[in-house]
Amino acid sequence: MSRVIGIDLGTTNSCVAIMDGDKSKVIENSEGDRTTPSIVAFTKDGSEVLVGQTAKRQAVTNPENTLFATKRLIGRKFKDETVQKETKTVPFKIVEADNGDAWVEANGKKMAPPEVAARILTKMKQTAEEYLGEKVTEAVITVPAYFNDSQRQATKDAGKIAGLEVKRIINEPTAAALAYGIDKGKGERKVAVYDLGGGTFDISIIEIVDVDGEKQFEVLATNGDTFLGGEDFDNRIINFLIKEFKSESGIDLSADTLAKQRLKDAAEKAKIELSSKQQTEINLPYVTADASGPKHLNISLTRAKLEALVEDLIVRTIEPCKIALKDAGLTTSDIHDVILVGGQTRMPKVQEEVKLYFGKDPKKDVNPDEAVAVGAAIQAGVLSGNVKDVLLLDVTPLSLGIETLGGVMTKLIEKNTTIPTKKEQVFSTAEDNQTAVTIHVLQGERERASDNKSLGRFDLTELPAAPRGMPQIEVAFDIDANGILNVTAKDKATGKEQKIVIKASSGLSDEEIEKMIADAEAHAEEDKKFKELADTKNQGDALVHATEKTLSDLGEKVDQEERAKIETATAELKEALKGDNKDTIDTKVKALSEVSAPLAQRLYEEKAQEAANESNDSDKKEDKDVVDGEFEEVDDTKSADKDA
Amino acid sequence: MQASEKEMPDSLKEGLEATLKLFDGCLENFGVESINPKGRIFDPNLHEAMVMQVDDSKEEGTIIEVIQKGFKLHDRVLRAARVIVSKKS
Repeated sequence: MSRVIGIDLGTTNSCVAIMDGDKSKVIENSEGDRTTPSIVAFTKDGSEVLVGQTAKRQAVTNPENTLFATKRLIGRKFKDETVQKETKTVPFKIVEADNGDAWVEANGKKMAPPEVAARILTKMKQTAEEYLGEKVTEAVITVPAYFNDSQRQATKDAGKIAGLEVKRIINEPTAAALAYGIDKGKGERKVAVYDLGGGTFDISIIEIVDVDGEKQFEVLATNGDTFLGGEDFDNRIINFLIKEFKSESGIDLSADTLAKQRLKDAAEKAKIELSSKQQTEINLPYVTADASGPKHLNISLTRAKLEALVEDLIVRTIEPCKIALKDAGLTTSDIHDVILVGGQTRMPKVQEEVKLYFGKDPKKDVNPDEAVAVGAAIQAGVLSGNVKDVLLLDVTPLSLGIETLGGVMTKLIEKNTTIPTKKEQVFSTAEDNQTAVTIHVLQGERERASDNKSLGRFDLTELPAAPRGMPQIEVAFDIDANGILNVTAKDKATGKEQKIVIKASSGLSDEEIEKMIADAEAHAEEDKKFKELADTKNQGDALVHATEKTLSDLGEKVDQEERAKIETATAELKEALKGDNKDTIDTKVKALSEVSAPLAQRLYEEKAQEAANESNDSDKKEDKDVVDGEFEEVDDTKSADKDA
Repeated sequence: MQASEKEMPDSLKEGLEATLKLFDGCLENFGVESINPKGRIFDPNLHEAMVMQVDDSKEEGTIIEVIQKGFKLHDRVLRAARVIVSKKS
C-alpha cells in the first residue's frame, strides 16, 4: 500500500514527514534541509520555476516574480483586509481575479494562490518520493485552525493540482498536539498550543480525551494574529542596528540594500544566538564606506536589550490567548499543558511570558519547527492504518448560518462546534403566496447578514402558494470530516429538495483545477526534460575534461593520427554542448567515447604498470589517489604545490 | 581568505598562504570544493544573491563580486556563495 505523507504547508516554511513504522520521521529535501522555504520563483525568461531555497537565493535579482507568503492570500477575496495589507508589503503583484479572488501575477501570468501552493506541495511530494523510492499520491495537509471553508477547499485544490489526493485537512494545533500527545498520559487534558512562527501567530485551546484507550482531540477555540512572527523580531533588531550605526558614524544604512541584506542575516543570527547566550556581537566588516574610507559595524547586543526591543511584540500575543480561553469557556487554571510550536518560541523571553500567563512551564520537547509536520504524519499514519488508537475531532472555526428576514444571519452551526456535524432547522416564507425562497449561506459571527462572508446561495422554487409562515422548509447543514459544507433545503409539503456543496467557494471551478493539474503535469514533463538535458551536459563536460586530461597525461605516447581523431571528436562535442539539443550531445558523447576508449584503456594499463613498480618506490605515488584522509607526511607539501 | 598585503611581513604571509593551500588541498581530497564564481552567470543553485548593482559593461546577471565563498561536497551545496549580481541601468 502506498504511503500517506504529512505536510505542514507554512506561511514562511514548509515541512514534510512520514511514519516509519511507529516512529515519525521528518524528511530532508534535496538540499539537505528539514524545512523548505515556502517561496516560488519564476525566472525572467520563463524557462524555469524555482521552489524553496533556490527561489530564496535569487529573490533580490527577481523580486517581482518571487512569490512568498501566498498562504495569506489563499482562498481569500481581493478586497479582504488581510489581502489589502499584504498588497502593501510584498514586491510582487496581487491582482483581483474575475470572481473577486486574490490572485498573484508573475511574468505577466495571473495565477491562483493554490497554483503557487501546488508548486511547494510538489517539491514536498518529491522530497518524500526520493526518500521512499516510490510514488506518493496521498497526503494529509495542515492549515491554521481559523481557516474558513474556502481557504480549506483552496488548500485541497492545491494538493490536487500537485497530484496529491488530500486525505484530510487538519488544523495545525491539532497536528502539534498529536506530535506531543501521542505517547502521553491518560485522562482528559486541556492543552494550549502557542504557535509563533516566522510570519504568523496562532493560539489554540485543545482538549484531549481518553475514551476507552482511544484518544480524541478536539479544538475548543482559536485566535491569533496573521501579521506577527519571527520576522517582526528580526526587523526590530535591524532597526536597532541602523539607529546605533547612524549615531556612531552618521551614516544611514536604511537606504543601502546590500547593507540591509547583511543586517537581516546578522540580526537573525544574533537573535538565535541570544536564545542560548546572554550577549552576542554583531560584526559586519566593510558594511559601507564614505569619503574617509570603509566603515565597519560592530555592535554588541545583550539578551536584555533584545528583550526590551521586542517586548511589545511578545505582549501582543497574550491578548489572543485571553480571548481564546474565554471562547473555550476556560480559565488558565483549567489548562493542563501548554505546548510551543514555531521557531520563535525558542526565545527564552517568549517562554517566560507564556509561563507567566498560563502559570505553568510550557512543554518544548518536540522540535517547534517540525511538530506540525510530525502531527500530520501521525494523522496520515492513522488514515493508512499504520497508527491506531487516535481519533481526530476538529471544530468549525466560525459560525455558519443563512440569511433570514430583514437581512439577519440566523446561525445553524455555532463556531467551535465539533465536526463532522449535522444541524437542521425549519424555516418558512415571509410573504403570502411566496413560491420561491433563496437560501443564502453565510459564515461569520456578525448579526447583519451582509457583514458576514457569503459562501454561496441557491433557490428553492415551485413552492405551492400558501399564506406566509405556512410552508415548512427544512434547511440542513452538514459538515464532513474535512470541513466541507453541504447545505440542503427541502420543502416538507412537496418533498422538493435543492442543495449546494460549498466547494466552489475556493474560487476555482473544477475545470480550472483540471486545467491547472494539466499545467502542472506539462511542467513536470518540461522540468524532467530540463533535468535530463542538464545531466547530459554535465556528462559531456566531464568527458571532455577527462579526455583532455588523458591526452596531456599520455603526451607523446599517443600517435598523431589518433590524437587528431580524438581532438576533432572533442571539439565537436564542445560545440554541441553550447546548444540545447540533447540528441546531438548524446551522439557526440558516444562518438568521443568510442575514439577515446582505447586511450583510457592504455592509461589504465600504464597506471597498473606504475603501481607494480611502485611497491618498492613509494615516492612516485600519486597524491590524488589518497582520498581516505590518511595524512602522508612526506607528500603533503608536494600535493599542495601541485594543486595550486 | 585574503591577507592585507601592506602590513603583514612577507614570511608571515607566505606561511599563512601555505597553510591555506594545505587546508584547501585536504578539503579537496575529501571532495569539498569551493565555489568562487566571480565573472560567471548567477545560478541560484550555487549562489545566493545579496544585492544587484548596475554595471552596463557586463551581461545582466553576471557576478560582479563574491562576498563570501561557497562550498560544495561532491555535488551537494554545503553553503551557497554570497554574491553581488549585475544589472543594466
